[in-house]
Amino acid sequence: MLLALLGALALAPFYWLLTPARRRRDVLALASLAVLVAYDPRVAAVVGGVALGLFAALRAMRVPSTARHRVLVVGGLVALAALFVWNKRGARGGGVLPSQGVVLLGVSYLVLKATAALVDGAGGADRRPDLGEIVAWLAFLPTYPAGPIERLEHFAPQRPGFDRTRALGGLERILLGLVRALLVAHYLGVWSDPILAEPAAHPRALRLLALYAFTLRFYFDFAGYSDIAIGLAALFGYDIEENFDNPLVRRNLVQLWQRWHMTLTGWLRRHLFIPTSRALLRRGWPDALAIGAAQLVTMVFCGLWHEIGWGFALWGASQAVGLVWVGIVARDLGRRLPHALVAWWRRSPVAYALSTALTFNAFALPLVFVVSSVGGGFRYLALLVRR
Amino acid sequence: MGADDRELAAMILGFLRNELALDVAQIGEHSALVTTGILDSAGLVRLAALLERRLRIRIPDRDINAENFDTIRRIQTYVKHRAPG
Repeated sequence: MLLALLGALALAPFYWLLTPARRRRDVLALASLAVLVAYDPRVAAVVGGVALGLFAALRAMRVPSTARHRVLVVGGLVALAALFVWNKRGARGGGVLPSQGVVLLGVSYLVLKATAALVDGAGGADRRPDLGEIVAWLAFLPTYPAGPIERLEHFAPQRPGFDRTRALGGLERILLGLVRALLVAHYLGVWSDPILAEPAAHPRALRLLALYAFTLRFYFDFAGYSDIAIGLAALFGYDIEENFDNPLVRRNLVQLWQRWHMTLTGWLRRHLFIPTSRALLRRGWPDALAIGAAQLVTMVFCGLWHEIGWGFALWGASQAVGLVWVGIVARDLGRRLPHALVAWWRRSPVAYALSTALTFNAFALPLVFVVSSVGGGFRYLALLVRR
Repeated sequence: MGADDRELAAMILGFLRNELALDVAQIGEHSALVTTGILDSAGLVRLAALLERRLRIRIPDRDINAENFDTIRRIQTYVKHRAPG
């Protein structure tokens, strides 16, 4: 990763000095594809195949025909779902795609991006991008391995032009990302990994602290890579959507998830939560049940998108329960409790600190199922309460 | 602001206060609801369902976003655009 980053930094001045403005997007697309080919030609082939398929589908959608749109969306989604599952199988050594982490993750992001573009296209998106825009967007190297999940309608209309302030801001952002991902996250991992691997061999307080450290590592790692992606994109003239906004210091899980991996949660909201909850409401489901079921579907999908397994599904379900608690149960409680008490809870610094700590735990403790397995996770949690 | 707009604003504020248990004293017609996180996804879906039911309009899923629902003013504009006739 560092080598690719250093290469990009070294090439940036030549990109601005030697590339005509109208060719910058194409040069970036070709450079991104060249790096992917060098890494593994099959990945570049997947990117090219998805880009061509998406371009053809969006072009066919110019004809206003609901039936045609439906066939194209269903066919496209089936193909993308198959690609996603094959990719995940590749992680276990049984698939057709490479099994190395970064590129593997890239394909998962690719699938989400293409799905959104396909569905938005069928929904009557105003703009029909050309093939060059689609390739540049899908292969864009800064965001390819780990997001942010940039939307086509946000990326495609941009025409990179040099802006000194943006470029310098990009360099600062890259530096911040390197510190977060390669320094803070790394040392949190160095400290916590041995405890997470053998919790019984360590004191109870350390078992809990190790889980907190893992949560912070997860955040600094992911937010750091997002910083690098956003900074690198800025250096090459693109504004990329933000991904994190201090999510771990929020006072409830809804607020946390509104600021954690925001481009993923935006995707989940637009393409899963809203359609599912509204479909259930239209079928006459009570509000609370429809919202709860949609939260469960959305968050379990979120878990499985990261990794197909029971541990990730359980982690997603735990977050859905927390979101339902905040969005429905706690609100209902708020209506029944004395107004003065609710007002105190909303304004008191003590209540703020308490709810922020509770929220952090509601996010951090279920991550044990991601660190381990379902059984291992429950054993770890049991070790937190006994000596 | 016309009578329809006032009724709609009152309906939205009533929903925020009674259904979402929010303190609406500080919420004006230009207060950001979605982008500040005051109105979350679940609240947004329930508000859209309420508008559909009360105003007899159809709101497509793709329209449920901050662009159309971030402030009471934007909701008023959007609803006018969706209303038949």
